[in-house]
Amino acid sequence: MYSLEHKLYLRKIRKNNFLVKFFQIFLLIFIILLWQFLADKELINTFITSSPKEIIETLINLHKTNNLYQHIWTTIYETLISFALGTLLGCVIASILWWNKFIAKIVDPFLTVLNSLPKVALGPIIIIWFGAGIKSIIIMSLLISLIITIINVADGFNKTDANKIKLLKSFKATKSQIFFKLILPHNYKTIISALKINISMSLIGVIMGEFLVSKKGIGYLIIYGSQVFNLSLVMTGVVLLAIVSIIMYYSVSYIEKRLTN
Amino acid sequence: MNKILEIKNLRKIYHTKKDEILAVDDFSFDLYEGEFVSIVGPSGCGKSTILSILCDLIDYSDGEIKFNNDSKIGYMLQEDSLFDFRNILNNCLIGLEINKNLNDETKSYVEKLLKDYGLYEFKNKYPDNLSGGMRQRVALIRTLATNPDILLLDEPFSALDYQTRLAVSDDVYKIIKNEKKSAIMVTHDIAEAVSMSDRIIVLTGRPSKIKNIYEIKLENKSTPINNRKDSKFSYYYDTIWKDIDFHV
Repeated sequence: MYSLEHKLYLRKIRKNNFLVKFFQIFLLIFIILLWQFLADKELINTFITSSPKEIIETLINLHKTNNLYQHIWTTIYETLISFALGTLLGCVIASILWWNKFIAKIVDPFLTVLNSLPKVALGPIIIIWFGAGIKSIIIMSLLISLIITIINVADGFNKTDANKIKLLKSFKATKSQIFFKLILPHNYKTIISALKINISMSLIGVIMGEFLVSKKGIGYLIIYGSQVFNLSLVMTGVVLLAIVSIIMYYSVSYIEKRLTN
Repeated sequence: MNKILEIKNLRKIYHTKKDEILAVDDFSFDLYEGEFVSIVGPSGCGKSTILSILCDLIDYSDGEIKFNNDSKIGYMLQEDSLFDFRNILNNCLIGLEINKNLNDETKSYVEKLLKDYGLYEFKNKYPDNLSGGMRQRVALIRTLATNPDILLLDEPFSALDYQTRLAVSDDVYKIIKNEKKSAIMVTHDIAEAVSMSDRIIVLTGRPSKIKNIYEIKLENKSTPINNRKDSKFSYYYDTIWKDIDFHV
């Protein structure tokens, strides 16, 4: 049994956690209510700001016309494809760069430039090369997630303790033995945390791609809404996007927890 | 006694962009079966270089190295370098895995080593759960697992605190003698060298050349901790101390 002091200590922590949660939810509800209140009293122009009620109406309309799920699914589907491709290709390329230091030296400045270049600038080129379709969106998203994955994972590989490599070499290990017995398992956590960065990066890339070229998806809803000056549609898109990104982020976090324990 | 290793006129030059550095020059000595030899010298003089060359981790520039009876080498580093994603048993088996020599027989040999040296109950534990001294003993068993004839010890205790260091050097010495291995140890600790070795090679500063070789003949040779109390211990300690020019 714990002492009274310890119980009080635990209670204090629980109370504190509860208050944080409470005020988080309170703040969210407060903002929504304030927004609706200002809209009802016509203190803000709903043509520009929309309102919670209008967002819900838009959602119901989208639901009725059956388009809602198609848009959400399109965005999720594109994100997952580029997430999978970005992670896989990123890890493979990082492995090649670890394997062959000569190649790594050659491509290093190219990677640095590609990494610092705002990828959206390549948008027009991508559309011309890959057409106005899902291919362009995935390439756009890949560009964003792939480079950062390569850099992170290759960095983890290269930072593997030199003494451990020396030890394996003293057993006359081949390069592939060093890779599979040390580098890869040692960087398990690096790769898992790359997944977490990657899912956010892929979503950013997909939305950027959908802005440039698309006929469906959440990015399409937002850009279409803005073109026809339907701010309710734009706001709805943003809300949907927030929900999708939270769900995806927590899914990857959950997988991360399961995999690292 | 049989010579198991002969080194003649070993020479090693390091190349950097700006300069070439002569690290080891004219280094010759023979190792006999069952012998424990230490190499001492000022820090940065190239002691570890000699071990890395013997272990074939780096090339040498000139000279001759001859292993008799196909002697196998086992290398033990300053840091235990245990893999934290492998348990103790699997850490010890890594060398056998790499040499594709892992079978029931070699595995039970490793388990026997773990049993003999009090680590068997930890075989399913991970390195994080072990103390520094135990980790270093696991590192030795990992080295012994491939059944080498010659052990190369590169400052094997210098990452440990003083108390642990004495205890572990005692343990490691006993294990090496029990398993009838020959050993070359590099250290900067003269007391450690005198307490453990049959012979001590004193090197000069860079480039490393042999300054003196001492045959350590204590009155009552026993374990390293006891050897430190031997009447001739301080004689060797002082002589070697004077031999090494320490510039602080």
